[in-house]
Formats: sequence, structure tokens, C-alpha cells
Amino acid sequence: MIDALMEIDWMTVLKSWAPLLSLLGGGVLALAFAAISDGRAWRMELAASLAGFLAAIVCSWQLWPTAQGGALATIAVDRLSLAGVLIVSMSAAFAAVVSPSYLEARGEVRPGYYSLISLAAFGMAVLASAADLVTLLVAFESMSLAVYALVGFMRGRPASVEGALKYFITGAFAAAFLCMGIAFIFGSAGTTDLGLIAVRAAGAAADARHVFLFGLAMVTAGLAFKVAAAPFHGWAPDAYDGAPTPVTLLMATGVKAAALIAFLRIALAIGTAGGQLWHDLLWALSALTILWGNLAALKQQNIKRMLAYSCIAHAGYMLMVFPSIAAAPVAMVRALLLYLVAYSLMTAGAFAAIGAVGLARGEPSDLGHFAGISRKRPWLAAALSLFLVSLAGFPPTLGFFGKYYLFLAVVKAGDVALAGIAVAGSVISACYYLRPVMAMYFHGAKERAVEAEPPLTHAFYAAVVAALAIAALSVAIFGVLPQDLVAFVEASAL
Amino acid sequence: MEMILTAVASILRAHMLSAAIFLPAAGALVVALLPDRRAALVRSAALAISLATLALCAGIFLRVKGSGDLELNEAAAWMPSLGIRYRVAVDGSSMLLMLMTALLSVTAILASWREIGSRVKLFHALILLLECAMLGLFAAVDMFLFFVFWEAVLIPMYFIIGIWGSGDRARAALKFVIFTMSGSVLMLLAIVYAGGAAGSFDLVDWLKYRFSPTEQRWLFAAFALAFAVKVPVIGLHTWLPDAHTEAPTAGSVLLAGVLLKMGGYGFYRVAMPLFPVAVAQYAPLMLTLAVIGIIAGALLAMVQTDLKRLIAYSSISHMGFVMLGLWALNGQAAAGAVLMMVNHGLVTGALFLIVGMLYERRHTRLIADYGGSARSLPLIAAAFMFMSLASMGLPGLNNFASEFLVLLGAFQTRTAYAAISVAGVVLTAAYLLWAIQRVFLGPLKNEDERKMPDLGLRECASLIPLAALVFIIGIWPQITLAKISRPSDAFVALSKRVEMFVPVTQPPTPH
Repeated sequence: MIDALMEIDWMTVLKSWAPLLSLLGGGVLALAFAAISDGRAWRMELAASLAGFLAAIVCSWQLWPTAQGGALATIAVDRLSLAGVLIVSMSAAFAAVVSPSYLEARGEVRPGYYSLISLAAFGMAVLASAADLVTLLVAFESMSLAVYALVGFMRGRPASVEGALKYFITGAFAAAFLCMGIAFIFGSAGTTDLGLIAVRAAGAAADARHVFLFGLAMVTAGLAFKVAAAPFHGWAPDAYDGAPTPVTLLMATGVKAAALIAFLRIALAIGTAGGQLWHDLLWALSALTILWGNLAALKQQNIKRMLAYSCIAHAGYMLMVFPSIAAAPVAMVRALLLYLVAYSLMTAGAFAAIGAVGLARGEPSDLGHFAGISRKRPWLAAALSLFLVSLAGFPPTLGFFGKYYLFLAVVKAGDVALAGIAVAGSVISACYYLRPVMAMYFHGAKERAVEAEPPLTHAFYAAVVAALAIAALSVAIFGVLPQDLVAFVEASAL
Repeated sequence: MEMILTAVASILRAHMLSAAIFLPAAGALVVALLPDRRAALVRSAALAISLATLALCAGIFLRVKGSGDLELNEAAAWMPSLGIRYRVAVDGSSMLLMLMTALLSVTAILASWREIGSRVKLFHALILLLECAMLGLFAAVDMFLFFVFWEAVLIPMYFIIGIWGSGDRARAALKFVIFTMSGSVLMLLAIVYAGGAAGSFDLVDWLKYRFSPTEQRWLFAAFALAFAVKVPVIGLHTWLPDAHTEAPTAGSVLLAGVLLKMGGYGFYRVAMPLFPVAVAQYAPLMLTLAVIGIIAGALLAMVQTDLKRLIAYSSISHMGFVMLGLWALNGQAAAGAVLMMVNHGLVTGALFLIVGMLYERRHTRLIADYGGSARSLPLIAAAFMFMSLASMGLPGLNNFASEFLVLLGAFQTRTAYAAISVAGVVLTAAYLLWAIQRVFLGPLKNEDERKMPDLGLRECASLIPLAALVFIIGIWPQITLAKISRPSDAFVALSKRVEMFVPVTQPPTPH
């Protein structure tokens, strides 16, 4: 035991795990600040948290060009995992930056919030890098527990508590499914190491094959819960609506990205060992999620619920890569990564903009609250419209290019039918994405006057504006000139 | 100083098309930075930019030889790893459509001078962005770029209808977007598929690629649906009356004048030359739809009670002639169809403009509310009658030349369809003359009209160029045909090359 520890090159471990350790360090430090019972200590907590995110982003950016691939003690240290860490750290940083203004306006500034975000981000980062199913399970749980607490953070708001409870209970089921699935896979393949599973499963006896497939289905179900894929999405609208909007942002981007990358790693490891049945299952999961998400979004009057369904639909688009992953793994990983970046940017932007509307009121998420905003707050309305138009996939935005790149990969892999379903879904989606735009631009403000823009000298609001500007510019500029982004994802999936 | 100027001039010479396409977009940025309160300044700036674009387009038009090949090619790397380039070029037909677009954009800005009173800055920025997308579409040769411009037209028009429209504008705007998008997403799928198969997104490469007959059928269907919604082919037209009627005048002018031509142009440039096997198979269906469109559009126009709706339905009828001309697969008919697109843009744009002027004075568009307006507003009446006569195809005015060419060509290859379509010419005369009679002739219905001003200077300025072109093209169609007849012949040749794809079975030759 001691010998084994002595043999490890600790410097290599430290260096390879630096992004993860930064997140953990930021979280632990933030937790320490949260314990100080001073009314202003939360600022230190926020600073520690942000420092952790920044360090994680810088470290993964530095490590990315020279990443060798492979795994180090059940943690993958390849470019895919670094790209995943980048996405979740940026999404968590984005959520943290827009939070102070949101929480302050609602009188919900309490310690513990930012340390929870940091710990959730740590869980996500490990989840996106897990090279072993047990590590994956632990990361899955540590991410989830932090997010449950965050969803229920607004104790005064019943919807928040309700959302947290629903999320927790269904999440517990999801974890149980995942756990059981892992046990079955272990039972049939004799290993939880993702690098060995496919070979072992192929060599297993014919009876064990059914056990293996059952385990795989359970794991898929567990992760589909977190991704909010239909029919495992029931919790999402309530949790998304109840959660503080910055937390919704985190759930929609970071949590989803981490779970999808973890699933991607499993699917890559399984390859063709899942057989036709697993292929069909994934195909149906994707098609159902696209259609269900888009159709259900049509009926929503509450913009957060509407976006919750939209996020379900987008999860469906991203799941399109999985049926073809055995046929064209590299192209599919690239398409998923690019779409994840595009999706995270526009979804984060949309939720941040919604959070910035009506800062002093409770939770202005009813569509009626958006009527006439374009006159009082033209820039906010323009930014939100840009994100929605991008989500709907209109060129020349990043949302369009992401779809284009994704459809190109799927069609090239020969799955024209699934691409056709996705295309139908995006037509439906235009109907509901344009409704808030209509409210903002085509309707005058009714009885309630639109709240005026808070001054930019207000530091917290300035942070929101900066975050929105970054997201909007990225969506617009990468939409016209996506070459650098393409190069990044192409190099991330070798 | 001189060096800089010569350098700029040489860059401009090399990138003329791009300059014309993106000048309005740059102008939109300038307009967006002006203060919102200085409405007059915003309007003048937008007008100046659109006039400069028009001048540029006119200059380019004179340079285009009309050789039948793509001219003024420009290409730049855009996304090399995906085989996507920024590539623009024109032939005589597309350059003529670009020129018309630039002219109608000027007209649209002039038409909005008084009509648009709120959010002036946003409006003009959107019009200029729209102009950029429309111009870009006619010049795009890379199909990814084509699709980007195709969709980029939607959003500005959506806002123009939705914010400054009348009546049920939000619904009309949404309907417009959803209809167009339903078609265009299928086109996206087709572009993705064809690009994956051909390994490039360049239209010229696609023309050389041998798509199998099955691929051609499906790809053509996807492209054709997108274009048919825009034309609109009868059956897919229901978005048009709502959008045209509820849009502000500038929106109607650009919708009827340019956006419908995007559909016709799509058939001309993309769908038909690429997939000749499918063209041969779908021809009976498309020709039938074209003829039904001609007749049904005219009949529907006849029963309208709203003047703007009447003109909207007349567009369906006229665009039927365009489709007939394209699908007749005859050089004369195709040239006539291209010319018809331009003529329809000029004439219908002017008619919408005049209805807008009437609406500005009377605040009604119902035909029943008018009567004898020729007594109170003689100049407006004269302008309306002149444009109606042009629309009917009176010899000596522009539409005669194009309608004649379409029918002449179509009679040679598709006699039966052409024969039925002639009825459309008669019906056009009927509904327009009847409308003139009810609106402008007879005793004056509303005495208030006497106090209303007739055509003002600005209104004349917006109408006179259109009227002049109606005359010039009518008397001397050669000025346009010189540039479009060889490209039209090339279009027909490409669309007819079925043998290239379906091998003719020959007895094996002994070695």
C-alpha cells in the first residue's frame, strides 16, 4: 500500500488535476468564509469561489494544448475532460457573477450560496472527467447534493422549496438507478473501468449479456434524469421555475453539460458492445425528447418553464449524436462539444437576462411581465431577443451554426430521419421562442410600468451587464466566424 | 492621400459586390449609433446609405456583361475545415434583381418618411439590414452563405411587420416566420446532405456533382418546398395576404417586390439547374400549380374588399406567370420569367406605395369606403391607373414585354398550360379595372377628400423612378434582356441535362 503510494508521481497528479483541485480549493475556502457570522462575509465567499473558477479556467486552458490523454487514477486527463471542465467552470462562474444582483434585490443574501456553487462545479468537473463508473457515481452525487440545496435556497418562496423537494426525490431515484446499473454492469463485465468494459462485456457469457444491457439501460436512465431527457424530465419545469434564476442557469448549462459528457464517455467506451437494441433505445430517447420538449414548451405562459422545456428539447438535439457514436465517434464528439458550447452560451445568456428583468420584484417570469420592455430597457430586450433567436436557430447566430454542425454530423453518419425530427422540432421551437420577443417588442407595457434600468454604477448590476455583453458578443461573433470554435472542438476530440 | 484613395478604389474594384452587399449593413450600424430623437437625421442617413447602395448597384449592373457565366467572382476562406467559403458572384439576372432590390429599398425608406413615427432608428436599421440580406442572397454562390442570407431576411421583416404593422400584426408576423421557416429547415437539411455528399458547399461544384436520381428527387423536393412557400405557389400562399396586408407600406413593398422573388430566384439558380432529373419528373405538377396560381390568384383578388389584400392576391397570380416561364424550360420563357420578377417588383411595389398614400390620407383600405377619388386626388388616381395598366400588361409598358415572352416561350414547349394561362391576363384586367372603377371613378363618396393634399414632392420622388422604369423597360426591353437572355439560356440548358444523370442504355461495343 505504502509502496504504491510512493510510486505515484505526485507532481504529475497535482498538475493534471489542477483544474479540479482549483474548484475544490475555491469551494472549501468559500465554505470557510461562509462560516464567518459576519453580514458581509459573503463577499469573501464570492471572491473565493470566483478565484477557484478563474484558476480552473486558466489551468485547463494551459493544460489543454499538451494534454496527452489517458486516465490518472480513474480521472480522465484528456482534452475532452479539459473542455468539459472549461464549460462547467465558465457556466458556474457565469452563474456566480449574475447572482449578487439577483439575490440582493430579493433580500436573500445568506452565506453558503457561493460555496455550494463551487462544490457543485467541482462535482460537475469530476463527472465530466470520470473514467470509472464508481468515480462517476460519486461525482454525480456530490454535484446533485449541492444543486438540491441551491434550488431550495430561496426559503421564503414556496415554489423554490417545492422545486427543491421534487428535484431531490426524483434525483434520489436517478442516483439509485445509476447505482443499480453500475452494479449490474460490474456483475456482467467484472469491472467498472470504462477503458475495459467493452472488451470484458464482449468476452462475457451470453447470459451475462442481458445483465450488461440491463445495467446499461439503468445507467442511461440515471443520467437521462440529470440531462432532463424525456420521459425522465418531469422534475425539470418545477425545479427550473422554483430555483433562483442564476441556479436555473447553472442547472441548464453546467449540470447538463457534465452529465452529457459523462454519458458521452460511457457511450464511447461501450462502442458497439451495446448492440442494436441500445442504438434503438438511444434513438428513441433523442427523438422523444426533441418532440416532447418542443411541444410542451408551446403551452407555457411562464418564461422559465418555457425555457425549461426548451432546455429539454436542446438536450434531445444533443442526444442525437449518441445513436451514431459507434459509427463515427470523432465527428459525434465534436458535434456534441460544439453544440454544448453554443447551447451553454445562449441558455446562460437567456437566463441571466430573465434574472435581470424586474430586479426588485419577486419572480417576474410570467410572459406578461415582458410586455413593452424594449422601450424602457432596449439593450436588455435586444440581448434577450438575440439569445432566443439563437436558441431558435436563426442565422447568423451561434445557435444556427451549432445546429448546422450537429445536423451535418448526424446526416453524414446516415441518420437523416433523426435529423428530420430535429428539424421539425426547430420549426415548432420558433413558435414559442418568438413569443417573449413579441411581448417585448410588439406589445406596449400594460398596467404595470416596466421597471427602469438600475444604474451601471451599481457594481453588481454592472457585473450582470458585463456577463450579458460577453455572452451576446460570443453568440453573435462566433455565429459569423465560428472557425476558431470549430478548431477548438476538432482538437478536443482526436 | 492620393495613394490611399487609389488603394481604396482598387479594393473596391476587386470587391464591388461585397461592398454593395455590406454597405447597407454598415449603414445600419451607423444609423443605430445616431441619437433616437433626431428622427429626421436618422431618415436622411438611411436614405443616403440606400442611395449610395443603389448607385453602387447601378455601376455594377453596367459592368456585368450578361455572358451567361457567373461574373465578378469573389471568394475568401471562411470555414475551411468544413468546405465553406465566402463566395459571391452574379450573372445578368441576379444583378438585375439586386438593382431592383436597391431601388425598392430607397422607395421603402421614402415611403416610411411620415408613416413611421415611432422607434424610427430601429426601423431604419432593420430596413438596411434587410437590404443587406436580400442583396446577399442574390449574389451568394456558396450554399451555406445562401442559406444564411435566406434566413437573415426573416428576422428584420418579422420585426417590421410586428412592430409597425396594423391590425393583427403579431399573428401575421409569426405566420410569416413559421411558414417560411418550415420550408427553409428542409432546405437546410438538403444543403447539409448535398454538402456532405459533394464535399463542398459551392454551387458550381454541386452543378458538376452527379447526384443520383433518387437523391435528386428528395433534394429537389426539400429545396422546392422552401422556395415554393416564398414564391408563393398556390396552396402554400396563405401567409402572404396576412403579411402583405398588415405590414407597413415599406414592408409590403419589400415583401412583394423582393421577398417573393427570392423564391423564384431559388428555382432559377438552385433547385432547377441542380436537379434536372427531378425537374423532368416534377414539371407537370409544378406547371399545373403555376396555372392554378395564375387563375385562382386572379379570382381571389377579384373578391377582395380590402385594396391592399387585392394587390396581395394579384401577386400570387403574377408569380404564377414567373413559375410558368421558368418551368416551360425555354430560353425566351425563362428570360421573360426573370424580367417578370423585376417588372412585378416595380409595379406591385408602386401599387402598394400608392395604397399606402391613400391610407395615410383616409385611414381606411376598404374599397367600399372609397369612390370617385379621381376627382379629389387626381394625381394619385393617375398614378394608380398607370401602374394598373402596366400590371395588366398594356403594350408599351414593362409587364407586356415579360408576359409576352413567357407566353411566347411557353406556347412552344407547353402549349396547353400556356393556353389556359392566357385567361389570367384577362382576369388581371378585370379585377384591376373593377377596382379602379370602384375606388377612383363615379361620384365622390367622401367630401373630406377634397381638402386632402394630392401627391407631395417626396411621394413623387418615390414614384417617378418606378414609373420611368415601367416606361423604359416597356419601350426598350432590350436594355434588360441584353443582360438576362444568355444567363436564361444557360439556366434552361442546365435544367434540361437529364441525359447526364440517367445513362442511355447502349449496346456494348466490341473491343
